Amino acid sequence: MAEPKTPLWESIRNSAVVKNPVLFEAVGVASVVAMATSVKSAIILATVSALELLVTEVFACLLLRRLKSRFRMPIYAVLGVLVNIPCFMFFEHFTPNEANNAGIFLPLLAVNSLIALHCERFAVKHTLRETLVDAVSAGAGYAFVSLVVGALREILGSGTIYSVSLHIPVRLQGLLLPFGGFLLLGFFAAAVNAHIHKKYPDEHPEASFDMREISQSHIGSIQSLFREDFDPYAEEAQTDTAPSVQFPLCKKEKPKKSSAQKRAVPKADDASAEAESVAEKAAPTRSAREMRSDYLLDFDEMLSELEMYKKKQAEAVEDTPQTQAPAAQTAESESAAEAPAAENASGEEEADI
Amino acid sequence: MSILGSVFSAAIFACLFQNLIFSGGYGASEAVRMAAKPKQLYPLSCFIVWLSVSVSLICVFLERIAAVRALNVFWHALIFVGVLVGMYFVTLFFVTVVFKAKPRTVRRLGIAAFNTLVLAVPFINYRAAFSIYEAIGASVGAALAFIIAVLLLNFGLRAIDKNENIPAAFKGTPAVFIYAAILSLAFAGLTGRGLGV
Repeated sequence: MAEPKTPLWESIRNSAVVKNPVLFEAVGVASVVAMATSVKSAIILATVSALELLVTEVFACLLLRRLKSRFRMPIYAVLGVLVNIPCFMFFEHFTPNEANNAGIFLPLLAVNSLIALHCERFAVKHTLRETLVDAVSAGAGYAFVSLVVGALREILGSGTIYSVSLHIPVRLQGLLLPFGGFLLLGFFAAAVNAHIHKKYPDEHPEASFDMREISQSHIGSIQSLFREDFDPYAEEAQTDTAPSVQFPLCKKEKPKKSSAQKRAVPKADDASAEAESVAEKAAPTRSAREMRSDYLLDFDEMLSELEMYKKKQAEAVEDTPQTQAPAAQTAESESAAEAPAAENASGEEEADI
Repeated sequence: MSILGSVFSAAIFACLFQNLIFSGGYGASEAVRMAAKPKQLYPLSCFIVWLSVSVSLICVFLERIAAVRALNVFWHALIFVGVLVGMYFVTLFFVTVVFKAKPRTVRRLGIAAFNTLVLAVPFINYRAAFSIYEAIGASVGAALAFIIAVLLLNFGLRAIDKNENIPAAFKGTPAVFIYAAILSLAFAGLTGRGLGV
């Protein structure tokens, strides 16, 4: 029996799976890529990150709402270090080797982009209950990815699991380098993406990573930094009011913004309205693409059936006696006449699409 | 001449031979996300250069104090973050008062300041016991490494975006991560370490 979908369950699913911070938002990648090379180090990473996220988000939700964003950012960093210190002391006491192997990455978790992003995007705009749900689910999602990547890298790279030898004859030590972390993250993200597409067809995890501005020139003036809006973390667009809007569009479908639109500072209501209008515009283009692919598949099938029919007709002509030849010829001529008609029809369909 | 040598060798080390993003993993998420929005790359890189150079210089000077040098790595972290916060507020003052930047843009200064790349530079200086000149070179090299990483990732992302043959499951971040893995593998060749295969 399927579980009833409550908003709580949906928000947990969104934060932990559909908008997984590492896999689909590319946030906090550095720590996973560099630090999660074994199960033990992944446990340290997951615990510290989840705890830090929880404490910082709750603190931001309760006390930092009225502060300006420019003053909140340093507070997140300081708070992160203050949470890190007791965690480090704890792990140094119980697993000194792993804590030392973590190197400088453990203190660097204080400035993990995961914390700043979730605090700025979520904690300061929502209630304490919603913030707690987001912190726990995002932390769990981050921890799960760290553990899986850490376990896989330990098994494939060191031939052990939790420092117990598995007697694997071949070890791919390259996977212990950041290269291995990126690679495993890529394949893991693809697997989760495929699963989400299969189980929740309406969800678009790829929308979490906005690629619509990649064609812009990287040459910008310093003046533009001070004058123009800039949103590298897509905090404005990725509010919870527009969860499935920003999937990557084809080049032809990219909406062109005027300079006035770019400079305009949208308010919260305007942003949600704009997101809805983008969703409305994007929906028909997506369905058009799906229809187009369906029509193309149908067209291919029709062509292959026509080929088969022609072959059968040719074989029948060779096998039948001369008396039946005119009938076969007429049938062939009919099929030949049908072929361009079918092509024309499908061509018209494509033109309509 | 030896000063220049120190600066350049540290910069080349941080930029190429031990590229902090691809070989070290520092600031990887910032680089990946910035590659998707490259418009402000150079101006933001100016912020990163400024912050990493100033913070690492101050931290190198602080490391000369015996009491500071004897502290645990986490007390160092607290000091480094404190210096970073101080430099952030100094920069914020100049950006808001002198340049009169818009509030939303000022908020982006936080992204340039509080990331693993900028904070990693003082740690690397501390671990490697770099001199002042080497610290300058390492921080400039870190910023150059960031620019190189973002440009390489951006060129790859453009190709990925145009490629219609990518399977649906690999569209978005999976393709980006695999492309980053290939780049990381290339930079791993420069480190001189084998892959152990």
